[in-house]
Amino acid sequence: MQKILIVDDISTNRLLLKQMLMLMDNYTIIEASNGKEGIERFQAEHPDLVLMDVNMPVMDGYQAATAIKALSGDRHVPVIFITALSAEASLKNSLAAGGDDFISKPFDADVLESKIKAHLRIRELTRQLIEKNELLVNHNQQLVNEQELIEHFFTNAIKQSFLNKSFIKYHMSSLSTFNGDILFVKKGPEGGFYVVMGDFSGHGLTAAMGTLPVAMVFFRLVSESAPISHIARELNNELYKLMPSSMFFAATLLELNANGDIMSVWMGGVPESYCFGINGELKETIHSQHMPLGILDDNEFDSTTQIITVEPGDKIYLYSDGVVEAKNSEGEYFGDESLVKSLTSTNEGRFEKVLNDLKIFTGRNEQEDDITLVELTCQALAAEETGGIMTDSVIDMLSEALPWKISVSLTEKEMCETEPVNKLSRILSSLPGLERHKDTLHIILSEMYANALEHSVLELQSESKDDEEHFVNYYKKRDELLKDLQNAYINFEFSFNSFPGGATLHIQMTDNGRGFDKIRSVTSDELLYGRGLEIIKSFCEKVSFSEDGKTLDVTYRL
Amino acid sequence: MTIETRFSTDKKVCTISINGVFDFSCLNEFRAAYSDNALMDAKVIIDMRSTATIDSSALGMLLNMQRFLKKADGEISIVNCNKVVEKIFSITHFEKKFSIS
Repeated sequence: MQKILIVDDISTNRLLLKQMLMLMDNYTIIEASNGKEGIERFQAEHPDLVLMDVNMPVMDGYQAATAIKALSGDRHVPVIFITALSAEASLKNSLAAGGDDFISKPFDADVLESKIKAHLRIRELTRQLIEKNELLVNHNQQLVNEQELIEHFFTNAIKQSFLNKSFIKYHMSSLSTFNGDILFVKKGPEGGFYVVMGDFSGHGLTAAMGTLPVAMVFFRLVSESAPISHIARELNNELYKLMPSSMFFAATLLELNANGDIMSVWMGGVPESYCFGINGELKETIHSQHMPLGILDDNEFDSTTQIITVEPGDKIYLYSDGVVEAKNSEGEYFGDESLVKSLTSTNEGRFEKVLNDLKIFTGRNEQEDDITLVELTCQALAAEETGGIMTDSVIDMLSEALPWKISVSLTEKEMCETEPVNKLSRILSSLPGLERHKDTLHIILSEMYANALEHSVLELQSESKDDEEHFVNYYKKRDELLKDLQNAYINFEFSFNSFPGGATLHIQMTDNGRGFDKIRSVTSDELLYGRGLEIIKSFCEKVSFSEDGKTLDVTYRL
Repeated sequence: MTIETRFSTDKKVCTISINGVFDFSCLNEFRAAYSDNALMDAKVIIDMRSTATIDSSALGMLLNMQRFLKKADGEISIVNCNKVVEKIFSITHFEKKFSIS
């Protein structure tokens, strides 16, 4: 129900107006007898419209109207003057005092009604407008807050990328806005570097969403020094699972080996890449061979990579299709030809030249939308020395660990099954303190087991491995003997012992074969045999045979 | 355990990647990978980035490959070895036969 405030010093006038209004609609009527009281009633009642007499004691209508308008602030409360003065002068004075309209005495009911209705409508519209504006302001603020949070995610996700290295030059449209263009570079654990460059279909935040899974998969696999084909497949699987079918990721995945002379590339749905030699010649144009990532399921996906031989100093150019699709004022595209022309026109500062040509072509200095251009310089990049540093916490953990023993008995049944050693080393490496020795323990166990099985249990002669044919025959014979094996065993006993500052794993292996008694070492690198023991010795502190070579004891320092 | 053989676009380089544990169970697969005459004229690279561990029979297989392909010492490269594999090569002085990095 709408409220109307009537301010008039003459009570009969107020009564008359009140009656007219009540006939019009179901308004709530509030009254005041002068300007000052009008302001007070206004503050107390928040009316939707004010009818204001001009000449009143204490405070006149003009003063009161000005005060009421000031109190309303952003809210629109129409003030209509009731006046006996001539139309022209009334309008001027009314508007000057902040009023919205005037009604001349004596009142005409129709005019009064239409004016009141019109002004209430304006008030309602203004109210809605303000409400929507507030909503928009809130939404906008929320969006800004959310973008800040998302930016935090992004910054953390791509933190591992290093783009500030001497071998890479790049240009990307503003990184602060989420545009779905991606460029990550990471050094491989064994040296060399990996690059992923690409763009998601679509624009804006939706397109940029894919940045996160790409970053996660890429950085994890690079740290495992996975081959490009594997990274391509994993990225495809992840994106295929996550993204709506209308979205995909056109990308170039590239790895340069540690020597800087072999490059593996997987390209899907991206423009050609170019390789330029030191003398400025175009050595190779690398074409995209695949569909973008995230479209095909794993069975259909083709992870075949192209292997390109390069030389240190060669320069590789990758770019997003935004480069060739850049338009000038006539709406013409920059195109492949202009790009190649631009690339081949100089051998010095080629990267800058292309960007400059592009700028001249489009005739714009401001933001070039969705353009990514990358220049990689092939060079040898050695692995960083990380070493197997024992941290204090590892030492503490080891030296405080409880001692334990595990026995495992392998009979011919387990020996015939594939890889009993794999199972053994899996058990061991699941124990606390042994995880980090997984690969070394696997080697020690395989060599111990091979020695016991082949030379003691199966009584095979090492010498018979001397050339390729014998080598193959040796393993054939091994398989045959293994099948007919009966009542054989190889027992392992693992004992873990800790002491201040470290721990050891003692392995005792006993078999019931004829024993391995010839302790040999490699005398010539031509020998195809006898390396097993040498390998065990190099990893273990103590290695000793007993019981005619049926028992082998080794101690491994953890 | 998978072995992948891949030639460069100009056929001058052949990369053999060994994934997983490289031991005698790979014997036939590995022989099949290098028993290709195209490898005689190519630079052969053994990529061990995905090789978890090797055993002594793997060393034998590598030597057999070198003989089969009639490659001079150091002509075949073994790349991306992890620390443990690298140690095995150094214990067994494989750097005399292969260029290891």
